[in-house]
Amino acid sequence: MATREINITGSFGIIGGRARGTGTEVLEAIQFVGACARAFASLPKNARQLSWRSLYMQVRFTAVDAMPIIFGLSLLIGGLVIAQAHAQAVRWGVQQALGPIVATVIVRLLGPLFAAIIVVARSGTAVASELATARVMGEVTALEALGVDPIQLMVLPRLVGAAISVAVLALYFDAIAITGGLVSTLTFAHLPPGDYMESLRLGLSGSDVILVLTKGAAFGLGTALICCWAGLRAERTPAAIPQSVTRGVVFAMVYVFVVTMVFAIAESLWTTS
Amino acid sequence: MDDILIRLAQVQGEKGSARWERPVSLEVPRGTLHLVKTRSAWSAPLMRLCLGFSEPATGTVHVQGVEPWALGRGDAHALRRTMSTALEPDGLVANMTVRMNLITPLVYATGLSTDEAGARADRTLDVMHLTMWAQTRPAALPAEVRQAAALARALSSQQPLMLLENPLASVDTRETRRLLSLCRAQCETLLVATHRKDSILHEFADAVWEWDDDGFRVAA
Repeated sequence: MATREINITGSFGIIGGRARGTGTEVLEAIQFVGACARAFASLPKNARQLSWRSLYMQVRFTAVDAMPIIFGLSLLIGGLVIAQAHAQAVRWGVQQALGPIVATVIVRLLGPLFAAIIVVARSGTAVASELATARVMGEVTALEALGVDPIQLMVLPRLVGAAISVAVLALYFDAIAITGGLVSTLTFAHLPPGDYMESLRLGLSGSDVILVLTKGAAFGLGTALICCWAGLRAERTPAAIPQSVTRGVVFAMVYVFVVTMVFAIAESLWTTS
Repeated sequence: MDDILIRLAQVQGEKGSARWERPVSLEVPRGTLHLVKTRSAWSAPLMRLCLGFSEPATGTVHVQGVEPWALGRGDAHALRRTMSTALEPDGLVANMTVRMNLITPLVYATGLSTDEAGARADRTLDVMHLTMWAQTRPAALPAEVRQAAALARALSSQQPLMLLENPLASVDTRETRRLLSLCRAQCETLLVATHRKDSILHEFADAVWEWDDDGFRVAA
């Protein structure tokens, strides 16, 4: 009888090797956080003027240019989720639950999450490919040879810009989604706008705005950091550019969902305590 | 104070890379221009070793009395700020104009204000005959202008020690003479690695080295 040989040792070896590789990459990313903190602390005073300029460019590209996409997406999602939530609330006779549902699902969860996903897809890929190209073309080495810290010049403005942008976009998403909900409940459920606004008033509070801004800033800072790290660690071959983009986007997405979970656990602990 | 600014002793390449068959020993005293005629596979590691980007596989490398590879990130940056450098590829930042490519290192590395850096960049571009290209991005520059712009960026830092890797390969003979005499006038000590076969750079050099499969030796 023919036997089929399975190389178990080899398979475990591959899995072990991959796990070790990922562990090394995570460790490198953590070291990169330290390097960024040191670069921020030692940023030359005169460089701030140039940093402001690139920060402005970064916010314009990441936040302002992304607003049309966010507008369409949030209007659709807000309209769909709120119309569905209202239909179910009417069916089960819990119309008063509409406000808390909107607050939890749209404002606290989907707003920051979608803002982060869009920023990773648009700006994260751009940042990773731009920095990887700079590495491949010898720009990073040339700057280092001149005594310029590439983190100060290329990374810090992108980190701050992304943190501001995702925080602003998350709030923007929420505002448009709530408007979409108003339109859809008015059109399909014939819910008077006053009732809709009253249920929102009961479900939302000022702390939600702080939470959305905090979450957005954490998403923006973390995803930009990961994409910059992925771009700057590219090897000096053209094939390294797409690899860096893939690595940056995958790690950034994982980061976004892990942080979402951390916030959800922290929120539930906060409300039960 | 040590009068030898760059000292390589029995170096056989970079750690982790293919070793050079024959070891290289070189001393560049203050106030001299040393020209090394070699190929890109060797000039790049030579520059990387001098700048502390890599560790020598054997022997020692000292630049201004310290071993650059052994320095921490901050100290390595501080050492590199005492040198003017132009490497190959030129490494001009693609999304900046030529003028901003000069201003940015002056602000971040030399600590000049934006206005001072702008004034110095304009002077350097003028001397290098590059003013008409000041607002152009590197991708739109002809090869010889790109090389001159990279050299201008190195010169604008006004440091007494200069490292140049194949700096003027695309530049014509007359312009090469003019630009190298500018470098010579401004920088006290230079180490130039070139891939040029002609002898145009020889007239500026205090020592010319040949580095090929037969080893590292004084040029005939």
